[in-house]
Amino acid sequence: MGKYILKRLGLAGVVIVLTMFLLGLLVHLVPGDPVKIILGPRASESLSRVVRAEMQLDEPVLVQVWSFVRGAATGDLGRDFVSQLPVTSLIQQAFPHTVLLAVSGLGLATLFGVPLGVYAATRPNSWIDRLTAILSVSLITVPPFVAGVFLLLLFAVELSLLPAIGAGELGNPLDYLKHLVLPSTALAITWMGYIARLVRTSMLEILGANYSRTAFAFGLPRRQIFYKYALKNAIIPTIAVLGVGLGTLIANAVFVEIIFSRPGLGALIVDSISTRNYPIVRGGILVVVVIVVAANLVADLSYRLLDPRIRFEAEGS
Amino acid sequence: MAAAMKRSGRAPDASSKIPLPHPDQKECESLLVVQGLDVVYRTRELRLRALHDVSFDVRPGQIVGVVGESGCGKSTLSAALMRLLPPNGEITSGSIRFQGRDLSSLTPEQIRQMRGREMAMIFQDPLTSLNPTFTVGTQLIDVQAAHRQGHRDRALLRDRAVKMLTNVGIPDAVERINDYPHQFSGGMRQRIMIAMTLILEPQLLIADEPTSALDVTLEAQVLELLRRLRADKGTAILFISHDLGVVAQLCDRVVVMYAGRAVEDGDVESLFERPLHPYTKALLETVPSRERRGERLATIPGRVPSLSALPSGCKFAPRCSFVQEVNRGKEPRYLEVDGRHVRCNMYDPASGYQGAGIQQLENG
Amino acid sequence: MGVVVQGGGRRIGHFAGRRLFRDMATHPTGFFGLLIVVVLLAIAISAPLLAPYDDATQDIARRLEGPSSNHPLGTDDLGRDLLSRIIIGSRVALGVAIPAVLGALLVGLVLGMVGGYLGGRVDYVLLVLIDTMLSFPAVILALALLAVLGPSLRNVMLVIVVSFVPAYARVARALVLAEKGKPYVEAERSLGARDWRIATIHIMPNILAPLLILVAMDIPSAIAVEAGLSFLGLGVQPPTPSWGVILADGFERVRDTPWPVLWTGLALMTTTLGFTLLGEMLRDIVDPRVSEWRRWQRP
Repeated sequence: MGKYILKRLGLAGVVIVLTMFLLGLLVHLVPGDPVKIILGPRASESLSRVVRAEMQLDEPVLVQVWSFVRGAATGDLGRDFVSQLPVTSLIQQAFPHTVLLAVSGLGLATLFGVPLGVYAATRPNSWIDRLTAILSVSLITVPPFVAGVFLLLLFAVELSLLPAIGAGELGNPLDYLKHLVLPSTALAITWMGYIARLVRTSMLEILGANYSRTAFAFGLPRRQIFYKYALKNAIIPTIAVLGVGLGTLIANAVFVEIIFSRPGLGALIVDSISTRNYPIVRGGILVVVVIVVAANLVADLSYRLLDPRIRFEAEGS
Repeated sequence: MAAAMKRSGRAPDASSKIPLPHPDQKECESLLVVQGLDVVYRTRELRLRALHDVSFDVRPGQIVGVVGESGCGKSTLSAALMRLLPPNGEITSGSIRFQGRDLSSLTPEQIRQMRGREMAMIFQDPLTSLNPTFTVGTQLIDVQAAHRQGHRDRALLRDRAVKMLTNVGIPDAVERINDYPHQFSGGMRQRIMIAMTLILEPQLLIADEPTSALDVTLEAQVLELLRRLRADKGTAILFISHDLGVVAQLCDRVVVMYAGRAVEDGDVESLFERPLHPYTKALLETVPSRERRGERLATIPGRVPSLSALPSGCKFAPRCSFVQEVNRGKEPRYLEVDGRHVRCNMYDPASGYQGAGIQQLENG
Repeated sequence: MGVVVQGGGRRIGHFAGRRLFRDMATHPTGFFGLLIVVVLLAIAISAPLLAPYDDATQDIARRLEGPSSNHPLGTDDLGRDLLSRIIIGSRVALGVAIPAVLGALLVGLVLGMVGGYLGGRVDYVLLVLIDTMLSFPAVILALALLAVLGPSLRNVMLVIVVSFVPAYARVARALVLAEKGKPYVEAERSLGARDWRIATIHIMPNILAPLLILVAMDIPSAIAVEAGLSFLGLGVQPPTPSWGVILADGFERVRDTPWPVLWTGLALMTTTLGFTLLGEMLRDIVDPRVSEWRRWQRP
């Protein structure tokens, strides 16, 4: 198990480093003058000069890439074109909002998805099971940004129940929470469907397994069989799948941030693309990739730790 | 045949038995009485009759074997007894009386209390019969707690679990009780299952092919544990198997099943020495024996019919050497012959079968 | 060399049998999905004929109206008929998503087969690259590429292809590895067949089925990605009526009128629903393990 953790950390490190190189190389992968690519065809002379200097475009390609990688590794992501602020600090400001959004979205999805899935599994083919099935499919097929837009339409515009813009003040938790409700729900909707279905399928498979038969045969109470024995087994593949989907979740956070005008990495990156503020784009994407890789790692390791068959290698029999 | 089995040492050992109740004693003394049991599985397209008119009984302290090939309904029988049929299975006729009570009259909670505590079951595949994400100790403790043994004192339950594990031969039980099932071998897992049973001391243990997945040495150990269970606690055992040799070693009585029907039953000596049903006879002949070394292995021609395409009349008729026209028309009744039961038209004077059944069988 | 070796094309033949229709009949939701998809394709193909108005005709006097007899779905902020725009938008949605996903399939299939069949160092390098790419969420990758390429419909297609290739490559590779070990491959080799022949004529048909299911499941994702990118202004550019563009325009004016957002959102949801249901039905049919689970009722 320990060896695996090291291997996994190593792999994650390789991915991140590779990403740094790719991002550093990106402008050069596309044919054409890098400055024109970054700034677009109608670039002013002064701005071009700034870009040239900032990105060291007069140096050989390898030097450019290496200096970016080296800078990234030490936390320096350059300065943005427009205001010459360090990219790292801009990202630092935006980062907490995105993380809070992603975490609360995931939390909401789990909070509602898991019980729904378990309940449906305990009453297979009942009306609630069918309802859950239909509901989960419907939820899965709503693209998060559509969900966000609809939610905003309904709750913020039509009903004026919740705010539509901004993230509120971090210092004022209640206000912040109020601003968090709609965006995290938008994120959570798709995932609720997935989780409910996944939990239901796992639970049904587990309840049909031999060891569940044993539990019933020895007279364990139903509640204990469902909520203790079966559920623990079902959580494991659920976490595994969640881990895989974390990247998508974080990517969807981008959309949700735009829709609800929340400050965050997503908004930062997209705005910077529109304003052709390339260093922020590059740095922001790198940070997002690091978050995704870290999240994947945590998910992967935690489900391996939860499953005793993996955690404790079987002794020779 | 049975003589040969006796010589090879695989014969019922009279010394290990508690004195059996006299065969004349009334049915109400029986621990388990199954009468005319019918079980049907419903699929999208068909209704399949997995069991039909199955009747037998088990007395306290008896070991009754249920023999038959794959697909004869043995597993369905055990599931029906424990009320663990899948959602598409249903008991459509007949009754099961356990400890004098009709099981269909019990509430779900009463059935739950019965399972494990009064009627328990161990399964064929020990590798998958224990929950992989909980320790052996937790599972043993929870099973006891479910039946309110020990008044919620988990430390006490843990001690009993440790003692029981040692009892069934798990070394270092005190440490190993905190291990997970996958850290034990198959043989040890089967013992843990037996320990789970022993700890509750049920009156009846249904053993569904408990040794089929084990090698001969382990099998012998498990059989020994079962014998001890009967000797020490007086537990009755319903031993389901396809292995005639093991059944001969262990059981007092045997029920032979074919295509969902009970076709013959009787005490083990009579059944093995003088089988009444052609199927039983043919089965016994297929068991290889030292005596007949060098001879071709006997088989029964044909195949077990699939439940969706059962022949009319006697289900064994297509493969029977003594078949007559009448057998294709009427399904034979389960009649009493000589203190045993057999489902064969040969022994039913009202069936229209020509010729004296028993002599034909012995000569044939 | 005329030996008939079992395996080539067997799965495809299986697929197209009568069993397929029987399985479909027992899968009402999938059938519903199929219906939606067929209708959608019909609409997309006949869009110019079907749409009552041209997608660019402006009627400023009638802007931001709700549904009316002239405009069943209402008008947008420039007075353009929503129904027509959405109908024509279906062309954009499918026209981008379907070719892009198929392109990803093609490239991924080739890469996966090369890696899986050749093995060794080539395979290892490929695997590392694939895993790295898979660590990028598709949208993030899309953003990175669009930042340098500039927004346009063509670039969105390119970006989708690039994002989806790693997944197909990985699955194709795994399937090829599984097939490689099967007896019929060895038989072919012992008969002297050359590698590329084995790969293309014998192995490929057998691995196509699960990949096609992936395609069915990926099309709705691709549609959502394109719509999303266009919504952000990074994809299809206005005035081309991509659903994302219509949604973005509508969103800007959402306080004035909810209709553009509502209808476009519904269009997107229905489309994704149809393809997802269809894909799930296909997966249930072809993946025997899942089919068996559905048939667990049989003893």
